[in-house]
Amino acid sequence: MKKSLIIALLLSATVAQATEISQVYSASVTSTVDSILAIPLMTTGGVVATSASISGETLKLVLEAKEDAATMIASDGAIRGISLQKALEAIRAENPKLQASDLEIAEGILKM
Amino acid sequence: MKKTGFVIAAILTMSCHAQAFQYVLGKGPSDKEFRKNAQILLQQAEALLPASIKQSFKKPVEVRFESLKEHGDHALGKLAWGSIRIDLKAVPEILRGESKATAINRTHKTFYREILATVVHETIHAYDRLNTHDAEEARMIRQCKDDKERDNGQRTSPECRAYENMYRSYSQNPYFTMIAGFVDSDESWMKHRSPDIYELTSAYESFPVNMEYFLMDPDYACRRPSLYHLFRTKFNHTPFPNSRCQVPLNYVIPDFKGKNSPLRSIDPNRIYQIHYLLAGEGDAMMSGWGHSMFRIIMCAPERKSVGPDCLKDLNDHIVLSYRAFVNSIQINTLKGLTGDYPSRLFLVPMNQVIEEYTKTELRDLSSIPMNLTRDEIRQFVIRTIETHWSYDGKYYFTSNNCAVESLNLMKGSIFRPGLIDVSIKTPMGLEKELRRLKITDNRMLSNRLQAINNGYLFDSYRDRYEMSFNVLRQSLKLGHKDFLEFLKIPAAQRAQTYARISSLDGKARTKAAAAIVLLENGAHRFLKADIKAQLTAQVMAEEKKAAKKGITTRQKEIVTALTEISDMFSQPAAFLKGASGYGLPTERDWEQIQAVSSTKQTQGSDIYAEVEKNVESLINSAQMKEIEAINANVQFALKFMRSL
Repeated sequence: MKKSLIIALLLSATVAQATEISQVYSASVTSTVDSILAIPLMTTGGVVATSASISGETLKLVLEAKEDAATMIASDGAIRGISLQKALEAIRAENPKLQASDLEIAEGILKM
Repeated sequence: MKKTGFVIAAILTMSCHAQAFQYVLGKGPSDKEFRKNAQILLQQAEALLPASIKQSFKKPVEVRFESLKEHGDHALGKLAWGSIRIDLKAVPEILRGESKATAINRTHKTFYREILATVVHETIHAYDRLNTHDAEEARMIRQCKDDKERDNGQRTSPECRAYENMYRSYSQNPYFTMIAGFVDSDESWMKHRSPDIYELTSAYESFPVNMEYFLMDPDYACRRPSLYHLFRTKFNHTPFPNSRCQVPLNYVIPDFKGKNSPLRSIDPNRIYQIHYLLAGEGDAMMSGWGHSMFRIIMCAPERKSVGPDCLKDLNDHIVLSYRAFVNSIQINTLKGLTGDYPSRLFLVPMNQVIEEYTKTELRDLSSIPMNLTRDEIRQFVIRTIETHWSYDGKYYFTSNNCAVESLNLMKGSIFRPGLIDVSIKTPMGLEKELRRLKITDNRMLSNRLQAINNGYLFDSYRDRYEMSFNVLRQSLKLGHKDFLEFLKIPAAQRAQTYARISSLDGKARTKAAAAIVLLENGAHRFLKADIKAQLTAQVMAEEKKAAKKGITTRQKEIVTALTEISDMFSQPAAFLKGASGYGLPTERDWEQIQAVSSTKQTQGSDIYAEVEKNVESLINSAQMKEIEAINANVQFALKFMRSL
């Protein structure tokens, strides 16, 4: 495993995955790999008992905000990425009586 | 008898309007009917010309009808020795008169109008050759020429570059040449959707060709809005004051396997700001100096007012990125240096850009606000759309790269003093100049954390991985040096470390779980990148072998098919191949664009399905096992969080 990883790393350096070049076939290979191997976070997991209800549109924003949510938690609330802020805005707009703090909602987003 | 009448008329005209512009019908067929109709045509031409151009002529302009074929010219018209010559093939059409004009399928629609346009064209050449300038321009030219002589060909100051060799009234104007596409060479790179490809051969020809349409086509304002704006200002002339055409600001996204229409529209009134988007240095050769882009901050449709809250609407923001179009499996470095790859302007969703640069390539994305007026924002968007439909440049790694092209986009739309003279080579160089000219304002980026939280900096995920690793290192007492070292060990082994978070208390537990999620997501991305690199290398090696044997593999066929489709989506004028019309597509063009792009999307989607099947079989089982182990780690952390 280790050897192939090193070889792969060397190959990736020479193959220049620079985004500035739009390489058609490489793009098709990489994009199909992306769809086969979706990032583990981009799905909803367990059932979450929160007092918030959210629409389908907001759910999309929530999925996009998961890594930002994890970042906020891991940084003790210091880092508040933009996708998270957008999700918070949408959740609060749909749940005006929601009392939870941003950090608490972020935890809810991550667990969703 | 005829001659006297003609002379008297000439004297009368001369005495009534001592300095008025005048066409004089000279040598040509003596047929009365012809000369009557020719005079009508010349009157029409004169009526079309802007007053400011007419006033520059001190002598009448003679128009002759003669055979141009003899001198090896097959042109309809030419300017020679100060006289306009029109070829005799125009005579029958002029005899017929405008009401019986012959229809043609070229852009001027009738042969009569083509002849009229030719007279206008040659007159503009004559105007250009007068080398006439207003007081300010004349002063600059004198000064710059003196400087050049005095300094004996040494370094020219940037402001003088345009003026020290100026000997035409307008075709060497730096704004005109920039907008007409004469960027780095003698041919125009605003190649597609041209009314007359003769305009692409030189700025000297582009000027009169464009003036034909400026003066004769009521739709020019909506087909070529940037040039229209330039001419209208320069010549103080509105050719069709009653024209109410709307500039269509539509573009095509490069989605060649989707199911929905790839057509999009920009409403400049819904733009909050435009930012200069700078990607930090990357590891690949082409990325060593960063990458220049622009970010259009569009407000989400449901947001009522256009303001700073729109910074959150990432899904609506559009990124403008110039990229070289590589039409083979392998990047050829030499081609990148010699201009063999075309360079095009891509309009990409912001989220995609954030994912590519910050999460995959671990580069910072700085989004620096530009203080543009509403008018400048509108002009910039117009220029972007014009570039999208017409530009087909050449990528030269050292001299026409993303930074230069980004700067040129600004030069063609934002007319701030000093901007046209700027010369840079790198994205960071461009950033410095924009700051010097006070077009960008860096204050929002002075504090890193604030910049992230306010949406002006999209931090490289390297920072987040380091932070997450530090959280785990502290709470779980890890011995590894950094996150890179930690992520090199197999995921299953990391799982054993993670199991220990159940013995933490309080907030440390959620923090640790969040850190695990981030790190494992990173591991997933790195492994995916390796898989991609490996597969690409494998494919390249296979193609090389096949090429040596002279075999065309199915893979090669797929590449060719995909390249053709991708080529069209990166150069959307291709969807309008065969359609009449020039410049920006109008509403009538949408049907064709829709139909053709839809067909290509279906083709693209089928090919992708095939590629996906092949790729899936190529990912080896060891890699798939590792991916699954990474996923398991993420699920573990999430389950743990849910149980708290």
